[in-house]
Amino acid sequence: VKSFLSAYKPNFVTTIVYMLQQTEYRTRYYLKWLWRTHDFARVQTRGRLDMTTAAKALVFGAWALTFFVVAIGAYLVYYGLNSGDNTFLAFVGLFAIFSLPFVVAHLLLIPTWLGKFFIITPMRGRQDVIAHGIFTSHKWKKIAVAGSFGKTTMKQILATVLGEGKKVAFTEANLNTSVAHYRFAKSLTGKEEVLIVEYGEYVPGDISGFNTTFRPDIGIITGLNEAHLENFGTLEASADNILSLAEFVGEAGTYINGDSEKLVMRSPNEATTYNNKEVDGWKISSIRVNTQKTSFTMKKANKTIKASSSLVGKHNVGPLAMAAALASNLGLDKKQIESGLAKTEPYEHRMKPEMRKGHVLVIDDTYNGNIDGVRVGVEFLSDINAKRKIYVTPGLVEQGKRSQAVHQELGQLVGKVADMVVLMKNSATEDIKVGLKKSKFKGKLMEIDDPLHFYTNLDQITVSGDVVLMQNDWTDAYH
Amino acid sequence: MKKVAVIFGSRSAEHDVSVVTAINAVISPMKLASGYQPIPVYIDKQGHWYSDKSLGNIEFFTTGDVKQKLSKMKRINISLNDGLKLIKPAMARDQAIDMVFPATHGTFGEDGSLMGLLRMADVPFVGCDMQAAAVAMDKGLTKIVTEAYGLQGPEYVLFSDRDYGEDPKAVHERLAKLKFPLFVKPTHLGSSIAITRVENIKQLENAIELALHYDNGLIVEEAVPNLIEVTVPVMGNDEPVTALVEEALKKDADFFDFQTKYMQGGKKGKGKSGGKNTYSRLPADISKDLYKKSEEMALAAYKAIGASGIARVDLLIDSKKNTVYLNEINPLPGSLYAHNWKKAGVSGVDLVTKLLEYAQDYYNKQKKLETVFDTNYLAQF
Repeated sequence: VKSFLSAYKPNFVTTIVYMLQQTEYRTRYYLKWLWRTHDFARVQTRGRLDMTTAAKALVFGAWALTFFVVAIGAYLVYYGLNSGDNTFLAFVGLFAIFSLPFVVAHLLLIPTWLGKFFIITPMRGRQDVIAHGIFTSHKWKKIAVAGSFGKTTMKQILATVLGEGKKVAFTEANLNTSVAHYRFAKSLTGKEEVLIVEYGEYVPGDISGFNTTFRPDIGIITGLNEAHLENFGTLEASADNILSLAEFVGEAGTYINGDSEKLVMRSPNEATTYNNKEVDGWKISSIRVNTQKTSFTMKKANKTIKASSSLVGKHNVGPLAMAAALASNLGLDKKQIESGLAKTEPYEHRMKPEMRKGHVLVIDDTYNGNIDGVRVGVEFLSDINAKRKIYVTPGLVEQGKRSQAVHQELGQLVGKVADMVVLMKNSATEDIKVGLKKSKFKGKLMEIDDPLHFYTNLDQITVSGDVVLMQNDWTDAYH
Repeated sequence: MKKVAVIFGSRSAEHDVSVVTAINAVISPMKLASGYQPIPVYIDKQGHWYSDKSLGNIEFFTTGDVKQKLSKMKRINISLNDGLKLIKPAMARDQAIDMVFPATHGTFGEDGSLMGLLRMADVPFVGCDMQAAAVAMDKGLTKIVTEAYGLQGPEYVLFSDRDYGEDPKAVHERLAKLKFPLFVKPTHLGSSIAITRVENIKQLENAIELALHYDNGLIVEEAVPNLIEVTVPVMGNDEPVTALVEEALKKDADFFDFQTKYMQGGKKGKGKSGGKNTYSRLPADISKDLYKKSEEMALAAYKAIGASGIARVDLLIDSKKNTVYLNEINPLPGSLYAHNWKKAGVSGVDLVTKLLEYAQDYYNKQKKLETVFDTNYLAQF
């Protein structure tokens, strides 16, 4: 009853506008959230509504609609009860008031559709034309990075290594939409030598559109998996979208992550692959991984590069080696490349280690969102020594119909290496537990109702010498 | 889901320390432990009882006007019939309590008074029972009981305000047997309140005057030379275990007063300094032999006073003589000494969970004891 009544609380309006914002005004995700949510009082737990102009307009519109419906409903009730045989009208009035939250929540989509159709889409079209004009105005070496996972890390590694010998500009953080590309283009001065742009995958055909705007010379594809199945329906559709980058730059300009099996089997034969064994004729050896750094040696003919990076985990060897090989091709010398590799460091929320008080190492990999990232995390945990290995996750989002299988696989992978597993309770929890059971997990299992309390009190579950790997994050949109 | 009342605050000089213990060391981890729901129960400095969810957040006590916030909150009563119940005002539903986690320090709580109340309510509670708590919180009684078990402490003299008032000369004659430097301590106060180190008769007289303002019982004991001060957290009922032997590092002052302990970082390096000043070494840098002796002394003292659940035993080591002396026993260490347990391999959640399990075991064992039986005693009247 309490949950049901939460739809009638005054903050319901800001809650639904907040969720429109959280789902980036995408109808499908918003409706999925709306239809599965029972308690609207427990939605804004991770954040608060950002009062943008659009948000203010929607909040105002929702309240105006609310007052209008309540007034009409109240009038109908009054009229129905006081005018003889019109009891039916009283019921209509009551029903209108009763169903108000659900009507408002759905009607609010109409202005978002109108806004998209009349304002956003035409504006994006104009921005693409402007960005295309800027990107083709100079003879830059242009590198595009695409893939289901690992794009931002790859981009940052490239920017750091190439930056030792070239003037490099790159898209910030994980901003990878056409708007981000437009803003990036506007920020260019013309003095840059290398541009690196990250491609996101949101709808079929978007990467092809990015190619048309950016016109890259080199394409790096970091991997393929089920991370965006909810958007693409099938892995093939996702692969077609991503591999349109390879089609655009041609096989000679394409670098493919050789450790991503699903990608390799669908990739053009002549593309250059990179992994922790070889890249573009460079042989990789002497790999060392610990909780502080990763090191390895690369050899090609009479050239040797000794790499050392603060990025942790064996999975980083391939991308680091690929960046070194590309840097060599672009004319950087051994000293510059080694210096660039040494400057690479973990990025926010991506396998970022932090030694906390009481000698507890926490690896923040909460931006991971796919099963390949889980494999990487599990491989890292099995490679290191720790008093206890603690794995924390809410599960993976956007797994579509494969959610059950993916989460059971997650449980099986984690159950083999972790001494303790902490699950943020949600729809994926039971499947992960099935996986843990299959792996004959004998450690301690904790299920958490309040993730915020858990994350702010992580030190309450740890002891000295523990390593905690936190992977994946569910924003309010997924609860 | 067991409802656990976490009782804290109270009429004590250590009221504020208790707030931190309750919220950071008990309520926060208990929220993560499965099977237990913490219910904050706060006793203010005037002795009024409150229970509200907001009292479980440290911000309640660290921001704004606490008194004003409390004035808007309804006080509660407690019922001891058929277990412990929180009787809430007006329309609010009364709250039945399954277990209690006492988190008070010092007077009107840790000293055994709260435990007596909980015994009357017939509810399982964490930590030492009434008798052990009362003995531990009285430095004189601790001396008497542990000496009876053959545990060695520094030479001392025990007297009351009445003794000193009636015949100060006789007290000074007894004190003359002790060798300076001496420590003058109120027997019932914790957190080093009104403890003074004295080097001569004049200082001794002043220190006694000062201490008698705070307590009606005093203990004067010899300072241990070549001192290494260590503390040992202990946990358990019949088979207690120790955490790590922790060494207090010397500051300019020769002992920790309240300011040093809680305001400047304290023995464990917490407080407003943000932990920058570390005043302890964990584990203690002492010989294996002394380490073992310290653990043994701590366990023996814990058992001697009949402690259960948790306590912390403070020891004094004469490093030249290689001798360990018992100093005092703290039946509810500040913040449960969770930092030490954590280093010893017990997380905050595990610590709280274990203590609740010990509480239930202790309660079950006590319930098996016969306390009433039928007699025909009244028939003769």
